[in-house]
Amino acid sequence: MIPPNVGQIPPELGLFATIFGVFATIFIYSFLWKENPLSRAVEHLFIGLAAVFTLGAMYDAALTQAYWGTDRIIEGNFMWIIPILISLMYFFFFSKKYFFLYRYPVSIVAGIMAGMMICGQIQSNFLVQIQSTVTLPLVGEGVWEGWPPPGLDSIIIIIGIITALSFFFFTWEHKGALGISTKIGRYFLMATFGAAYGGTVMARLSLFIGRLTFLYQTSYEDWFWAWYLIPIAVICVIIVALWERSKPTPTPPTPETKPTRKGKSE
Amino acid sequence: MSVTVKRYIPLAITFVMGIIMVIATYFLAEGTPERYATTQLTATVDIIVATAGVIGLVVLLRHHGLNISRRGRFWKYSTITIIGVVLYLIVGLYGIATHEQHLMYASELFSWVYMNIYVHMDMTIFSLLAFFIASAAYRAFRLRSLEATILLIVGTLMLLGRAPVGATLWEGFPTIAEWLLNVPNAAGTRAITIGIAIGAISLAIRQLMGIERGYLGPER
Amino acid sequence: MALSISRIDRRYLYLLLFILVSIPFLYPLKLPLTIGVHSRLVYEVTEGLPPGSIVISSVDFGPSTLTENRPHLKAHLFHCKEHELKVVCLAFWISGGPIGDDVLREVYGSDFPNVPQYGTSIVYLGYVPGNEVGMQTFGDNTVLAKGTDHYGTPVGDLPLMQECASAEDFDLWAEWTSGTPGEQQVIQFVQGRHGGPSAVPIVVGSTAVSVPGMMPFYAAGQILGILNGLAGGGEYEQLLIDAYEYPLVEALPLLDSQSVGHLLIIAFVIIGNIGYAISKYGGGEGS
Repeated sequence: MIPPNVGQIPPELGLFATIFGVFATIFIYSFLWKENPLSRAVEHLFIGLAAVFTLGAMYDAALTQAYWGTDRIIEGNFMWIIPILISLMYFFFFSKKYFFLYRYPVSIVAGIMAGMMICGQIQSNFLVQIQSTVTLPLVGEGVWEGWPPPGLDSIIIIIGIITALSFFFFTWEHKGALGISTKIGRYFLMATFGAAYGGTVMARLSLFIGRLTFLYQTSYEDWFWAWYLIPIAVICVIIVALWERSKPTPTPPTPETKPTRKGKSE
Repeated sequence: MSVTVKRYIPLAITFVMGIIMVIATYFLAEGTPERYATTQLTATVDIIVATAGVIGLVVLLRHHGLNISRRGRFWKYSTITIIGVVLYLIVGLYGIATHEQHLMYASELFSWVYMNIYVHMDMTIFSLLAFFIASAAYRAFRLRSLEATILLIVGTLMLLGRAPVGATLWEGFPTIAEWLLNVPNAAGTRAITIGIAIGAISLAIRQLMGIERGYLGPER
Repeated sequence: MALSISRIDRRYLYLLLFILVSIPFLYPLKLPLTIGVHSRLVYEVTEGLPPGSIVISSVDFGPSTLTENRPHLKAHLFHCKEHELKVVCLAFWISGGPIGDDVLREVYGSDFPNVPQYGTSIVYLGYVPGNEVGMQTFGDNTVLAKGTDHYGTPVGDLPLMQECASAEDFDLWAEWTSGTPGEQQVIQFVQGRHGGPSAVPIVVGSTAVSVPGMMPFYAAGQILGILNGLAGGGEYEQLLIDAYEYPLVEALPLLDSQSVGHLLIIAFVIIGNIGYAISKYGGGEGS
């Protein structure tokens, strides 16, 4: 087994991570008050790191998939050189004359994904959904017992699906029976969006709670550094904000006065 | 170069690849050599797209480099981006040098920088949404119509039902939230799912037939 | 007054949110927790697997949803370890690679992967490239999808991967997700191709945003159980505490803050609409 790449991290880097994390968090949150140089700086750093991380992952993926893996180049299966050569055609993206060569690997990937999409969507998102709607229980033992009875739920779901689908029929005008159907369908869709809204609020609050957990509960060697670093970070933000405010605002250029036909300025 | 080479051959490649995938799924039994060959084909896609990571980094460096050289807007912050790229690349190259198989992503220091530096920034930037949601809840969500009322009532019941405080206030809230999720929400979402499936299938067919050509990029 | 209610500076709202959601960190409310059906099903499906069953644990989330998804992943890995299930952990998101490694070290010890079970009971494949294409390839042939584990060991050298050649060998797929590729792609490109829900059962732990969109698949039996965001994670942890004295609790203490946040949002909606109603029907300028 390949031993994992360990032992490179000195323990003191844990303190550096805590300090950086607190300052980065407070600097980004200062954006809520007003955009400022510190929040902008952290956002730009974030973009740079993200790009290199993606590169690292792709590099590893290509190397392990093509070379190091079981039954790959290192074990004599040279078939795996072909996708590497095809992937190099992506670099023609930067050429004006040979840009069309960039389209070849893109076409391969797009074609495969389109074919996969057809098969996957038909089976799982279309046929199975229709099948499970058609097979909802309406009769049988226990279907109309309890509250709410499963049979009532089934009827509500069937009505909801049919009316919500009718909302997307744009071939005919939404009048008469279709108008009533689309109106009911719209209410079901609003219930869907309401559930989505509830989920969105839950999720976004959880993100924020996660950051508070770091700020209040992260410790390095049993010392809650964050509690003491937060005021320092806030002071940094205030100093930078006051410095920005004290900078003279550049005056906008005055419009040039153009002479009129009779020689008078406007 | 002729139009055939520049445009029609890529479109033909797209069509052939797509048809191979459809035939493999519906007409080739599992365990046959032909099916195994198509699985090998999809496995190569993983390697083909690897270069896209390099393209992304080069485009980023070019954009910010031009911004610095032209002293464009926020050019000083572009410097920070490039410094971050260079430093993290150095960490990655150190990882390649020290890893037995010259891997970057799997090296300890590279992962450490991701989990202890990058993650803080990513989490914080996304957590700003919580504040915007709170602001929107106060300033934008108005009960102007029956539809908006339904939306907000369902949303409120979901919030009360999915947190412990709801069950503390009234034991019926979790049951109502679950019913809303399983019945009206499922109905509306299923309709949307079926609609999206039809749209996705038609878009994929248009792509295979060469009607949708946006993925080929601009004509140069 | 109606105008001032409806036009309050949003920065005061931000400050109120920050302060009120912080309070439970200092003064825990310890609100009682009700276990939902969806979370209980995840527990029961996992508990119902015979020891030695193969579980695919897919880390398909990024740092942005770490607070919600990390407790799901950690708790389920612990559950599988205690219940003697064999786990093949992997990630179809680039960001999932280091996250999975980090969580596995927390569950199996900081020496991971230098632990006795590695290779026989637990394997970490790391990032499997290709998104949906990678998922389909993995379901068809695991060796073709990923040639080495996360650390560089060829999969041919790992005994567990000999037992796990394709989707036909999977006894459960545990999808920890916050977007695409996620549970829908597993359903389309793995479950749908290899015999349906009976052949590849799926449980999902997801950010709360995505859960309403999963309900048709849950209703159709394509997903057997769902951990719904932070609350779902807390419920699952509670079940594990009761059964296995789960020591790595992460989500449960945060539910108090979640409760306060929900009440605050509801209060904002109500007060905002009161101000709107007063301004609209009281003769003042609408907001």
